[in-house]
Amino acid sequence: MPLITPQLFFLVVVGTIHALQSFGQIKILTVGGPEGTTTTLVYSIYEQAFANNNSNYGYASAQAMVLLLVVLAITAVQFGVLERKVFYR
Amino acid sequence: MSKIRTARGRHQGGLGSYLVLGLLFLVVLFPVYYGLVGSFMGERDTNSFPPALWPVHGLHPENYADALEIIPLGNQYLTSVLQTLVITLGQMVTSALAAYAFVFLPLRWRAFWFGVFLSTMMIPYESIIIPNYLLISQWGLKDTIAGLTLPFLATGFGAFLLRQSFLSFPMELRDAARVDGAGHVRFLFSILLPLSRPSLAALGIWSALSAWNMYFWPLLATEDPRHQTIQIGISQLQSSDGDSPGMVLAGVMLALFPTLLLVIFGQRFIVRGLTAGAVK
Repeated sequence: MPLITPQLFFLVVVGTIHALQSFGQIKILTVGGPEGTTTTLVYSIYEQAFANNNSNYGYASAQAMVLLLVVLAITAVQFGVLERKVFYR
Repeated sequence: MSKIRTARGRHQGGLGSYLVLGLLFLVVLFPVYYGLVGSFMGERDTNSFPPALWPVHGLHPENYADALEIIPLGNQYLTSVLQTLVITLGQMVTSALAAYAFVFLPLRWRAFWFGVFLSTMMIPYESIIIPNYLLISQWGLKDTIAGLTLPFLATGFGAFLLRQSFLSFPMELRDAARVDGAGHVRFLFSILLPLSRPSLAALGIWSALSAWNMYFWPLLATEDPRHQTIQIGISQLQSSDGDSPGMVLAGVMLALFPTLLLVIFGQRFIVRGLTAGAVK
């Protein structure tokens, strides 16, 4: 385990980013419901901008920027905190 | 530490580890199994409780015919294949050229530009999907292959992958080519690319898989069912007929088939290519 921490670290970072971008499973399985409890940020972007001809592009773009900041912040934290435990040869 | 050592030394995979591995194997494989078996099940099996694990009430291959009837699967197959081919080729060409520039050309601010390339990998795709959508629809490219593929023709990941492989290319070969009078184009196409085939294959397979499985963008960029990709098509199957899971699974199996082939025949390239150049 200590020797594969670089790979584990990579998987954690990529997996987190990927999970924050969940869209397909929500669109297909729950449609964000019930009562918006499974609405992720990405699905909300889709709803605001594209569902039911909402065309609320400004609001959705703002959400997209928030998503970008959240992803960057979490990645930065992971690099700051977790990478200290990573053992590079 | 000592425990780990003895475990490795004495028994190479006891009964316990095989049990755990077998269990994980079942967990991973079960959705695929159920997709395949479920696509042959009638409604009496899929809607029974507890759900049937194999077709108790006979096989129903007509699920496939039903799926083909509801959505224009032929058209969608064609769209998916074209989209995948264009994106894969586009990414391979742009990535190879960009990586070549980063490794072999005297570029001012090389590290800076490479950082810019890498930073595009960190921006979630969903953040730029709205500008992309507005642009494509203003250009009147909705429901076209161009609209489906344009935003994906270049990728930072591809340039990064190929740069790593080009960096480990022996400089002696490049100098030899130079001495024999090969210019940049000649060297790229006759020497560098043929020798980088594992990395190119890895990139190609990776691009093809992700292009084939794209969902969000094709959902936005297409409206006419005849121009949609197969991934959108099978999600329409579900909403059009909620109580026939067998038919939906038949559609899923049809969409899954090409990727399974690609993974089975391409996996050795992926594994070999991704690690090529990692250790010199």
